Amino acid sequence: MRILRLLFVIAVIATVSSCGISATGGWHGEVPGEHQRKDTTMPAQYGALYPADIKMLVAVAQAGLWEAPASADVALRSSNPAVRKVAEQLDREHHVLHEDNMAAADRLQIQLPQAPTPQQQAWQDEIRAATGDKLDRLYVNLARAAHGSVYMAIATVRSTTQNDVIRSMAAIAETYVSRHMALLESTGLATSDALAVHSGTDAQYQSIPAPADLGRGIAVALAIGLATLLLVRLGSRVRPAEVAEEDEAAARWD
Amino acid sequence: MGLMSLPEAVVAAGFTGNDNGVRSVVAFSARLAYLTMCLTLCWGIFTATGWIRRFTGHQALRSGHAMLATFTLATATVHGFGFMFLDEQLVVGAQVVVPFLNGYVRHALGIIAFDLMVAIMITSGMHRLFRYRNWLRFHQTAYVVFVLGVAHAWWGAWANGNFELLWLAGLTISAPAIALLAVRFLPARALVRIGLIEGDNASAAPIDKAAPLSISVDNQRCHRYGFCQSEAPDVFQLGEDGRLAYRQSPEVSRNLDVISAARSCPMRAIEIVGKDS
Repeated sequence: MRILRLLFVIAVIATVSSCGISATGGWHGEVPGEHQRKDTTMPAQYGALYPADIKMLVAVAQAGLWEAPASADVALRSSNPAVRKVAEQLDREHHVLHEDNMAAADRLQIQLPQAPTPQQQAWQDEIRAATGDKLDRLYVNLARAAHGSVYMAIATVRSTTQNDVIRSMAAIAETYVSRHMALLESTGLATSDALAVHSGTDAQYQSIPAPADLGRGIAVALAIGLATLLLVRLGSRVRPAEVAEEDEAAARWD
Repeated sequence: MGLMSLPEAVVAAGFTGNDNGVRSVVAFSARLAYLTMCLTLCWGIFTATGWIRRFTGHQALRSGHAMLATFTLATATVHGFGFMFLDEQLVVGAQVVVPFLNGYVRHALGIIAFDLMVAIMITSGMHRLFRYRNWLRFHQTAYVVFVLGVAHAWWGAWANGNFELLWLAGLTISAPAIALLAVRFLPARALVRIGLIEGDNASAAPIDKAAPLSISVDNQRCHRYGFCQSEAPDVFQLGEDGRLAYRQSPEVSRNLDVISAARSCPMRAIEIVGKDS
């Protein structure tokens, strides 16, 4: 009986945990990019449209939504002539690319987001808060990494898409983003870490509470810890008469 | 190889509206899981030590602990499996339950904690299949779960740039659990000396494991679970008529099993006293 029960539990666990193992198959023995077509597709004008195609339009749109204002900001404030020049060009070109991207989305009747992602917003805030040399390095490396990851999304779609509008858009975006990466690297400030970002990337720049706040917070935590121990002390020190009453009551309840 | 594997994981800068929504849900369930995990640990320590038993009664502590543990597992499940609904395929398929499969140590901490939690949850209903002592040792891996879970939560908050938003709440919630954990492993005598628990508390008077013991069972409390019988079958006998027969003064060689039996009683009905005291 026991063994049967154990076997049953093991069988359930094995079944549950084996679900979706195939999803991690990855690239081995498969044409790269082929998996993009396994997702559902939708009939559209100018050829079949896959989720990856739409994601590329969204990625390009959101890249423009944070990189254009961040570049404009850096072009005004940077003290490094090379960075200033690159930022000016990125700002200008991102507006043009954004127009093209919106036109493509309109032709396919796809709605694009109106705001950057929270992560991109945070990068923009971080750049806005920085000055001097830190500003230059922050901007160049964040922008280079962001371009790197958008570039990979574009390249995948460029080689796999079946939709004509998407293909020409991917071709245009590919040249822009490739050029931007080269421009950013030409400043000499890009480090070898600034390759690509995605949401699994740890935030490297974030605000930390001031030391005074941190001290106050730790004091609060200590006070709560001590209060807990005090509660234990009170709880373990009920007078014997009350204990007897409690026990009796407990016995009745049980 | 490095380049080949990139596009699958990196759709990066473009989150879809779906992803934003999924992220909100997984973040919220993570915070709930953190809260209930800390409370589960507190209630578990209270159940194990009986420190505030006189306040609440043992049964209330036990059921509170079980309820909180269930809630922790449920919210942790929503948190972990929620990632499967991301368009950006951060965690796919078996990666949700197999640690290190998607390459993130940060995720692996949470996944190991989750797997252990599931195992603890399953075995908590299988008292009768294991000896109580072994069962308890396994149940105590929950302390590891707590440490892994807290590390996973703080690392995650840091990695997502939420440290400033969450640190104060995170500290406040975990403070009671950490305080209890710190004193949990102090010997009872030390606790009495610093005045945390009362001297005449049963757990405060250490039992000499090598001296003769005297057993008494409160029949009002005994609910005939029979755990004591599986721990020390020659000392405790659950009769056909449902009554518990036991030997009042077992031989010294049975002491460890007798103590284990007293500890396993869910109703805390078995009282052991040293003969000479």
